[in-house]
Amino acid sequence: MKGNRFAFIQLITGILILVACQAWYTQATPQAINWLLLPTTKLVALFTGADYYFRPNTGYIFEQPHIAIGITCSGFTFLMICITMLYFQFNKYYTKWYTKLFFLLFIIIISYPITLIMNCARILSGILGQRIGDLLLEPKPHLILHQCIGLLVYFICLIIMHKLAINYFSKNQPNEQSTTT
Amino acid sequence: MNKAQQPKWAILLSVIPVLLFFAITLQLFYTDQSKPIYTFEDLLSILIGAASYLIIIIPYVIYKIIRKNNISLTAFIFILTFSVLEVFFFMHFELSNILDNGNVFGITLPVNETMLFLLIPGCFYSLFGIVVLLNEPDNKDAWRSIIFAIGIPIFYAFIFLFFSNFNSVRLDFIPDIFIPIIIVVSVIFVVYHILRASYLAYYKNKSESYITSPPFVLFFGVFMPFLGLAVNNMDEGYYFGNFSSYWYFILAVLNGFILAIPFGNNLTVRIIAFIARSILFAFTIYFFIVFLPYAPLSVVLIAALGAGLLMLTPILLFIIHCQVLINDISFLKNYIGKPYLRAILICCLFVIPVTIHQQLAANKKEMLSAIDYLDHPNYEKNTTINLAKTVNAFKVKQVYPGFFSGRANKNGTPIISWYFNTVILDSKTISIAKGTTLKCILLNSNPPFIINEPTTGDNVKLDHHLVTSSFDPAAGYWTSYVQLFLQAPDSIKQGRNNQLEYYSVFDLPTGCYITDYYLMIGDRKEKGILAEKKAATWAYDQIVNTRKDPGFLHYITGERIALQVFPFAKNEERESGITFIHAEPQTIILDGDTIYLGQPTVSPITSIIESNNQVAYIPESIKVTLPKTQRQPYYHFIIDLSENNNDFNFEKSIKDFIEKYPEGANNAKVSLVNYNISTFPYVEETKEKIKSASFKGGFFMDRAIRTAIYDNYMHPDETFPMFIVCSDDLEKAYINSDFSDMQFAYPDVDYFINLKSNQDIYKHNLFHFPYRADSTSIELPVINPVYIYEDNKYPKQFLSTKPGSDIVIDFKNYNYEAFEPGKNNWKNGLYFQAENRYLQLYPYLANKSWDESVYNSFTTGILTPVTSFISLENEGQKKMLLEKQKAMLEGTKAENLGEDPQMMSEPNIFVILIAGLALIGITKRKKLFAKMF
Repeated sequence: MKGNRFAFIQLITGILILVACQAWYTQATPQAINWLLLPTTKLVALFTGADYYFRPNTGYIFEQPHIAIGITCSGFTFLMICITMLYFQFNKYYTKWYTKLFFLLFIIIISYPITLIMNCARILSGILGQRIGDLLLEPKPHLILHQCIGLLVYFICLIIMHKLAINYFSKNQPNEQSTTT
Repeated sequence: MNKAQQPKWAILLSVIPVLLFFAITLQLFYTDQSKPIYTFEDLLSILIGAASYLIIIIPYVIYKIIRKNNISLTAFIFILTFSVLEVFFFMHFELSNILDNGNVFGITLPVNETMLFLLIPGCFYSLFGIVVLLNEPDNKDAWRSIIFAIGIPIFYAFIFLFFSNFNSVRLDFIPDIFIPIIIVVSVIFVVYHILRASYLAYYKNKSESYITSPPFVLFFGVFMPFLGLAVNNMDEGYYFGNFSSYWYFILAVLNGFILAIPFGNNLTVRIIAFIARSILFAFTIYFFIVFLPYAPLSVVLIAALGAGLLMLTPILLFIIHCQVLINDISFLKNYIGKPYLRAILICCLFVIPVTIHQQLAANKKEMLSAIDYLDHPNYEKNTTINLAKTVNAFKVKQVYPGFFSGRANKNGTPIISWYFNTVILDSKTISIAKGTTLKCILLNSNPPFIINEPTTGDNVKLDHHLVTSSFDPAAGYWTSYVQLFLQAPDSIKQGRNNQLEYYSVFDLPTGCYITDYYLMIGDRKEKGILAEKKAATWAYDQIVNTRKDPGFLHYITGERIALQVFPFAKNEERESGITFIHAEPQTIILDGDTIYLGQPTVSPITSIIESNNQVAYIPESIKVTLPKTQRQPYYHFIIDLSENNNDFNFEKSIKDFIEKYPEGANNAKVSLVNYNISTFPYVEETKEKIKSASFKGGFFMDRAIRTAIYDNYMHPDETFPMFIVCSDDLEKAYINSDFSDMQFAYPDVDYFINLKSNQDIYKHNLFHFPYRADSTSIELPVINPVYIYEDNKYPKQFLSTKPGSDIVIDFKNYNYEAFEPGKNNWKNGLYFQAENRYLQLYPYLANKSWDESVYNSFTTGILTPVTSFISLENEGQKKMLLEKQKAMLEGTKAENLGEDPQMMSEPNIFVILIAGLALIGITKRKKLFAKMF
């Protein structure tokens, strides 16, 4: 009973934090989210060989391909989903509050580079998708295609991470779990 | 159940590739309607074949999947027959020669290689299926097949040697198709026996250990790849692609050794080996993909001194690599979970491709910077270029048309060049002229051929001309219609396909603009279309290659115009014409003839005319009343630091020159010029810099002079630079045609001096054929006096004292985007001239206003440097031009018109959640249903 209540409180707290983060995110300026935007932009520039510049109200603008990496492209949503998925799915393997906290910190730390890589992969796939769309259809922004590619890239990554984590925890359950049960 | 008979392999190796093959062939069938009609018949027969195959095989495979049955022997024979016939017909019809580099859905592909890559897997798969079904491994031996596989090529080698001296006329009774059929049947037979021998050997568990044994791997993993790369790079032909980079050799040897070494049973060592092998697997896959289309050819070439074995090596290496990785995984899975091993394999597999992609992206950046450096300089900033990085970047920009292509240029690297050109550069082409220019600047090769050299002797000439001028008193300008009668000579010795082209250039006087053009095609007067210049140039070149009739009128530099008409047969006379608008009577010199526009019957203009507050037209009657001065020159030594000029003792030469001609020694400047430019005053402290300068790359003289002219124009005072170019090899300097486009900013002198190491000096005209020395002279050029124009509205400017009107522009304020064409077309022309001059001073702004300029030219009908008049013969050509123009305008519209960039937004969080729930619902549906009901 006690465990269930703790899990419930944890869940509610998590949801509240998530909602708060999303509320902050919707109001954020490009400068405020630069910690995600700038590395993503640099990664995209590295793989496209394109120059970019910063426009305060929009974010980072690339001349060729003519794209913008703004707040909505920062990967913040993915970061939140990634942390939430990994934490709520696997924190059950840790029972002590401080181990849970360390686990959460660990997840936040690894989620950051994963988000950067996956967001970069999504943007690059989006650029490629746009180009293919232009070739096969007509040159215009293919928004649905772009969203579908984004979903596909995110889901592939989330599923792989989930599978690998399940595989890990099924073979290497933390000792504290075995002692408590 | 044998795995090879499972229908999924048929889908993967035959159905999907043939679907792609069908799509590509269909696309080729529908595009480029100018191809010969028989090509369409051949393509149609191939298309019908592929469609019929797909109609039969797809339902068959689906049926087999539903029934969980195997593929039968008949189906394998059917797949084999189709695949072989399609390959045979595609090669036999020589469609790749006609289709050139096939443009498939906007992507240029080597046609033969692509088609073979799609069809060959089907051939091999079906043959393997037949081998499996016809041979029971328990009671068959591999050695019989080995004898066939070796014996047949040797037999053909003997036949070839025997018949090589045989008179082929005696074999005329044999139909042409007979020999190709015999070759194809023999190849199938040999491949069948190779597969049979491999299958039987493998089945008896002999091959698995044998192909991973160190001697075997070292031979096919190290020796043969190294030999193959060395043979391919022996001459500049690069038949299978340019693999001259030392990385190919390093990776080939490393790959071979890492595959050959067993590494024992230590877990850590095996993991490291597995990672290394997984990373290098991308290298093996690359060569496997490149050489797979040549597999049938390699079988034939085994007869030719075993050359085919080199071509088969990548395929054998692929099999070895797969087997080694399988062995690694089966060892490591005892310690590490399979998902992790898969993840490691996939991640490692991406290491080389991602590195290459990143390197290519960096190359693109370098290329674009180099092109910007060349075309759109900012004279205020002394930007530099990195020689090594830029040269490396341009090495990749080569095209690999494929081994089967008859083209000479195979400098590209298969797949990588294509990927770079298509994906990274987004199919943007870099013109040959630009490539030559960059080579000249960076590598000191010869400069591009200057097209506006005067025409010589045996060529089409202007025979005579007629002018009709009329004055519009309301608008206040003249309109002159000039009819040009062009005459080809009696004898034709040169030109494309014995047809001559008329080519002539003329300078447009200040205040004179072109508003129309025509060419007589037969009895029809074909009016010129005002089109975007790059699109029109492309169309003209396309049409000239197909010997149709175009006439072409365009700016080449500054205010200089070129007129081109094609073709002329022997002794042919053709008529063309141009319409000019001008405020005052003008003269134009075309092809040696003086053309008088307008008559001096109307009283001359006596006031300054302005357009859009950016430009003032100063008629000659006013110009001559302005204050006059003669500015003092100072020497600006342009020192050639290119790699072929290192014997030049600059210090001594400059010293001797100054002693001889001390007039301009005060405030002298020096520019050290190779591909970069460094300018500083010529004083005692800076002489050391000249001494220690190193000689590298080419000689970018053009940029050095333009920067100095710009600098003097922006800071007008009583001095001006007199250019002393210190070089023994001026022919190798890069000059973009001439400096006539900057003449308005440099009215004091028409010449620069070439100072040689032997102290000889030569005068060269800056504005006409600057490569050519006027004469050896011991006198410095004459300095022209200049008029001073200064008022509150326009910055101080010096105007030429040569006869004719002039203009002054507001070169300090950029308001050129705000232009609205007015009713007075001559004033619009005046504005365009000012804009043109402005952009000569600020070339980096040209891109920004490019499509505005095109639009304004179209609206007013006035020819500008960004547009051309082109007369075309038929509607097809016009359509072609307009489509090209549309693509070009659309291509840059987004950037130039300030359109919002496309936001690369993440999927919405609710969309992700809904999709996630749907995914969970689908995967866990059984559990959910069980709980619910």
